[in-house]
Amino acid sequence: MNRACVLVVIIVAAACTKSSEREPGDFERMRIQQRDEPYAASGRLAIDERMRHPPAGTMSRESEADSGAIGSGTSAGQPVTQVPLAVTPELLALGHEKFDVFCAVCHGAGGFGGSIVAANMGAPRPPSLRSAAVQALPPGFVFNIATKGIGRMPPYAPQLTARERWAVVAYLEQLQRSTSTSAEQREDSVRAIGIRGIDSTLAAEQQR
Amino acid sequence: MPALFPHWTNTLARATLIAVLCTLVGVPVALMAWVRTPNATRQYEPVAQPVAFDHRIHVTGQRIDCRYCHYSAERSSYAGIPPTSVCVPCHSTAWMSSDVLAPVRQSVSSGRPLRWNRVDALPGFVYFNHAIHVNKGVGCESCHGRVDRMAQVYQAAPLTMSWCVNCHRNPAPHLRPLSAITTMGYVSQRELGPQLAQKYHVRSLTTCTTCHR
Ligand code: HEC
Ligand code: HEC
Ligand code: HEC
Ligand code: HEC
Ligand code: HEC
Ligand code: HEC
Repeated sequence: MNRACVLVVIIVAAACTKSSEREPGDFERMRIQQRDEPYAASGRLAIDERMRHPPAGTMSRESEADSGAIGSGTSAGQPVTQVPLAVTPELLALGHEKFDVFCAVCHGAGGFGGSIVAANMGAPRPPSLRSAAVQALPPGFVFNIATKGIGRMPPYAPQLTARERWAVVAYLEQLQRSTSTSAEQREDSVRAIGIRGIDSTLAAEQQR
Repeated sequence: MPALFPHWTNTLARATLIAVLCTLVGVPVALMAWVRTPNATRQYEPVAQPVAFDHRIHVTGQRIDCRYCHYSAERSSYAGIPPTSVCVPCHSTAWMSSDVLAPVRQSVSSGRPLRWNRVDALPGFVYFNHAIHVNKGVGCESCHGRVDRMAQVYQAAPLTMSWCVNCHRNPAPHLRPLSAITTMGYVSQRELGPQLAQKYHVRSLTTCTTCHR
């Protein structure tokens, strides 16, 4: 009898948790579990994040350094002069999508530098990517700008994979070759049309 | 000898029985109804944040795409909150010195992340994944509502199991082309749904292990 009682007590006690781990007013429905969520604060470690940063001096196997021209945009220390991936319609479509999300914000969907943000930013303003100076830049150089940033422009390596950055470069080259009207026609997303509208007025202003 | 219980106690006994039955049925039903109300699901409740970040200014005013900031939505289970380094380039030095952005400035200079308060939260026993929804044509708006009109983000959907399963039973009418994933105020086209479902190979996932694993 006594043993049975002890057993019952042990089994029941095993289900207990500290009251601090319970959600107040909730009947322990396992809504909060003892598991680390990404982005949560650790509360224990010196850096208050649960997601760890890679240790200093290490790099991931997919990272740039060991993957040649595609990863670094340079060959023999010089920026490559051609996109090192096959420029297919799929790659251009990917580039179009990523350009509209990540570059058009500042440089405008047409690349003229006429976005609303650019107007609000103050100097140095995001320049036009359709100018002769930028058109003369080798693709490897533009790739490196997208990877590491330049001046006030932040790096986009965390947001875009190497393939996506090359897609953006390929799309930008196509954009630079096209006239602004055909770029408008290819556009289908409502938001980018809005940006392009502002862009083309700016282009018209510049021509005047 | 008069009867121990007068005649009216018969009625009382019946009434009591009915009341007990009503309580037994009514209380659980009422509780079940209550957990589905916005009061219990915290729907529509704006959440105060350490920085008065306004989606209206950034999305509608500046025409910034959702993915510019929530850039892992397309490739990971978490949409993610942007690190403060994303805010800096657009906010000129004059702005950064304003009081509103003081926590952002502190975070950038100290390297400590800013602590935003969570708005949408599922219980720990539910598995959720952004990438699969976003890549199969379910737009942000379907689950988060008109974020472009929110001064402070609030939870726009009930996030109850019935809400998830309702869409999973028949996702087709909720689908949109991938180019319109982040579009706010998208007008769905009736005929397009089934076509998109076929194009993106959308299945109807209702087994328990889809979300409880
Ligand atoms: C936050 C706004 C912003 C975004 C987003 C942005 N840029 Fe920039 N970009 C700038 C600014 C500002 C400069 C000028 C830098 C300077 O000179 O200080 C610049 C410069 C450049 C230049 C060099 C132009 C020149 O005249 O030498 C290129 C090329 C470029 N950006 C490409 C891109 C690409 C590709 C993307 C998308 C991945 C992008 N930018 C996204 C702000 C931005
Ligand atoms: C300029 C950067 C930026 C853009 C663009 C942006 N967001 Fe946000 N978003 C944030 C920040 C910062 C937070 C955290 C603060 C808050 O909750 O208000 C956030 C929070 C959220 C949340 C609440 C997250 C939670 O805690 O559950 C949702 C939902 C959301 N954003 C959706 C969107 C959608 C949809 C869009 C596009 C229409 C969008 N965001 C565009 C920066 C941005
Ligand atoms: C692509 C550019 C861009 C990015 C990225 C951006 N902002 Fe902004 N933000 C703006 C602009 C432009 C305004 C001003 C709008 C106006 O004045 O009409 C603004 C306004 C604000 C305001 C209101 C300022 C005031 O004085 O009332 C706050 C707060 C703010 N942003 C916070 C943030 C935070 C936090 C982030 C990072 C998650 C961020 N912003 C990212 C462009 C940006
Ligand atoms: C199928 C519904 C659904 C769609 C579509 C969806 N979300 Fe979410 N989102 C959720 C749920 C549910 C959560 C809460 C997740 C949790 O608690 O783990 C969430 C959380 C978030 C958060 C908070 C951070 C995080 O990742 O947990 C942000 C930011 C966010 N969503 C932005 C977006 C953006 C931007 C899009 C569109 C590209 C989007 N969401 C599409 C349902 C959705
Ligand atoms: C508006 C429609 C919609 C809503 C609301 C929705 N889903 Fe989904 N969900 C989908 C679609 C469409 C798919 C993709 C099905 C497929 O893979 O073909 C999906 C897939 C999933 C998957 C991926 C399954 C796998 O095999 O990896 C999970 C997990 C999931 N949903 C969880 C949830 C949860 C949890 C909620 C509620 C918080 C939710 N969903 C709400 C439409 C929705
Ligand atoms: C599409 C995703 C999805 C599927 C499929 C699903 N669930 Fe759920 N379930 C949820 C979500 C989300 C919640 C949390 C609701 C809340 O926050 O109250 C939940 C909650 C529950 C709860 C309630 C726990 C509590 O404390 O409130 C039970 C029990 C449950 N699910 C069982 C099941 C069973 C059994 C199945 C299979 C028939 C199933 N679920 C299929 C998403 C799903």
